[in-house]
Amino acid sequence: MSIMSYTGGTVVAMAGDECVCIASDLRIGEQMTTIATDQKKVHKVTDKVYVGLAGFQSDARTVLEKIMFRKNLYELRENRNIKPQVLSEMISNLAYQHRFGSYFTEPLVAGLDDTNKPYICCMDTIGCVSAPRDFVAVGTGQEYLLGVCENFWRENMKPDELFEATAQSILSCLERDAASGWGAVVYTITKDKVNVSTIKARMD
Amino acid sequence: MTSFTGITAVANATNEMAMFKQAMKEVAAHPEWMSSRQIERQRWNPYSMEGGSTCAISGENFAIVASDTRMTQNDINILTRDAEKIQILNDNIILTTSGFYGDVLQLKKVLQSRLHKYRFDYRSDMSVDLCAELLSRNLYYRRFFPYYTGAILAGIDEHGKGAVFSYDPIGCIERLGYSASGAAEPMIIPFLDCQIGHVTLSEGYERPELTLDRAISLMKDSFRGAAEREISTGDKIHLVIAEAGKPVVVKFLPLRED
Amino acid sequence: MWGETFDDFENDEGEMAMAKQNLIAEPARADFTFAKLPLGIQPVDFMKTHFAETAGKSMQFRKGTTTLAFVYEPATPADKGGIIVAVDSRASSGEYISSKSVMKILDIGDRMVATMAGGAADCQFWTRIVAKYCTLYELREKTSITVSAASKYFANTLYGYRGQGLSVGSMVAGYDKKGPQIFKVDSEGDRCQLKVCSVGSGSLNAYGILDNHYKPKMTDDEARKLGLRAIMHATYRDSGSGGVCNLCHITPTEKIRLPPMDVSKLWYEFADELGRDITYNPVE
Repeated sequence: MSIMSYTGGTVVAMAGDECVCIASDLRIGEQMTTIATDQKKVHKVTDKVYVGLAGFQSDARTVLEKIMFRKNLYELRENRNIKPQVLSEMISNLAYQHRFGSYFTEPLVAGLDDTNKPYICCMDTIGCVSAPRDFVAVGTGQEYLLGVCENFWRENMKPDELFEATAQSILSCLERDAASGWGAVVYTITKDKVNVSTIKARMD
Repeated sequence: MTSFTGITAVANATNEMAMFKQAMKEVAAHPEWMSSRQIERQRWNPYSMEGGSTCAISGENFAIVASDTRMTQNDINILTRDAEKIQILNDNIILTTSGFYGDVLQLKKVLQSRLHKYRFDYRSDMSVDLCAELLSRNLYYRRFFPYYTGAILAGIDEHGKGAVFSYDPIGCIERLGYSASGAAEPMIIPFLDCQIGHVTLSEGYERPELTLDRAISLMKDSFRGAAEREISTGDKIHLVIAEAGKPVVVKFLPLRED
Repeated sequence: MWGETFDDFENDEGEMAMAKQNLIAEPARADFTFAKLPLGIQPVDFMKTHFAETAGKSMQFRKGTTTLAFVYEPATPADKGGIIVAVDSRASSGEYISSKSVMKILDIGDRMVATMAGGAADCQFWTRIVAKYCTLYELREKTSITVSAASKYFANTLYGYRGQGLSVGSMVAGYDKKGPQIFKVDSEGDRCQLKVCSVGSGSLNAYGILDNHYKPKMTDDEARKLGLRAIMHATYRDSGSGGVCNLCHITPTEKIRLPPMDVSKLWYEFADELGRDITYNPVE
């Protein structure tokens, strides 16, 4: 078992019409054993920008602290909210600085920029950004999610449709991924507010 | 002379570690007690993964089987764009296999000859349940030198119902409603779980019935989704439809070719 | 000179009779000719190279399980007592759940079952062989085979393939003339009789529940609930187990298979029972 699937966990983000959804499962484990079922993997960076960290959760925690540190510095220096594009570039830089001893976590950024255009991106452990217009997934359930999302994603979905598509995708993924599960949490980010909902999932 | 002792020390340590790792790797790959011939033997690889995915769905009175027709080597080269991975063994047994194409052909041959012998001995066609057990055993007989294949057997059983049997490479058998195998299995299965198994649907919601048309369109969707993201799947969908009391229908549908 | 045929026996009628007797009376030993690897290739290493985690998800063998069985005596005259066998239903290849509905309680005759843990194909195949042996034994000896004998045959067969990479952890459980019995058999050739037994990746979790709540005398209802609960807790903590709980109750007179129970539903019921709110509450 590789270090990337040691603790398990999956994060997915989908883009819609002036809204994005970011969802994660809630498990943290030690290989086959489930340790806790309330592990946050999606974190708020600003009101409209969220970051998800899948992979080895110890590293994810460290990376999150570093991200918040840099983001705070940015905001102090520039005196404005950070845009998701800027944040992803920043995380990418952070990740690449550890090119020869990388953090075992795959970051994912989802948010709305100044014009409320959705932005989602994921990167590998050393910060190669890919920012498609439809959906991204990282973590142990990546493969399952990509398969399902491909069928569920539509152009210009409204927030409620987008939520449904994301929720269905992550639930389907959790059905087949042993390393993640035990509940899911979905953040729907729209220009006015962020809607957080916890979804019941299988507890095995 | 000034020297950045700290830095050189670290550099030395990293260097030493790298050298140590390299040495460990070499020793693991070529243990001193092994003769060169033994090392050569251990590396022997009779398999090659030729990619592709297959999928089968069964319903009340039908079973549909689909596979892509691409054959790749090392996930890079496309060897052919119209490889046949589905074998129609008789009017109500369809075998579909992904994996190493040599083993795919061998498996087909073994089953065909056994089915032929059965016809000769009992003057009737073998039923799909019987063939499923036969396949399971034949896979297990190669327990210590397995067929490098993921097989699915589908067909119409004696009661006129659709049947899908799923296997692992060494013949663990299970009868399921739907199954997939091959490179895109992890992409197709969760989608079918959602659409056919309705596992994500809360209780009390209406579950649409699985008709033949719905099964075919789901099959197409799942392959299109898989072809979008999985590099060894593509070119064409080879679709075989078996309905109770009707002849088997074979169709080819277009799929991504890049 | 180099081999012997039936012609060689012709001079010695006694020997011939013996040979015939052997053919008729002894069931053919389960002696399969498995396709072999070329000389010098170790099957275990070969499998590790081509069918372990490095291979694609679809090329890994299916495994991973929690199974348990225990013997209990009836607490009241209204109860039947006997053996409870409970298993989960997940088959996984690495982290991928390749099946959610495997039946891991396999029948051996009318009064006996074998559970399946470890390599799924190994268990299915060899349980069939044992079942065949038991049926032939019954026909030949005109009496049903004991659990002890069946498990011994199973263990011996597996012992014959020791070191070749089979992976079986099975419990042979059943009722015979000596009463209810459970034998744990594994691919290392081990065989031991137990009253309370659990095998598989989630077995430790299941033992935790069993050790806490098991009593030698229980009502049928209690015993079945204990089986379900142990499996449910094991599936909750162990990612290698899950799906539904299949339960089989072997009483002195019959073998009752109970309908499968969804372990996830069992967990939510359990949480309700405790009055524990298990819903995750996201805090910023």
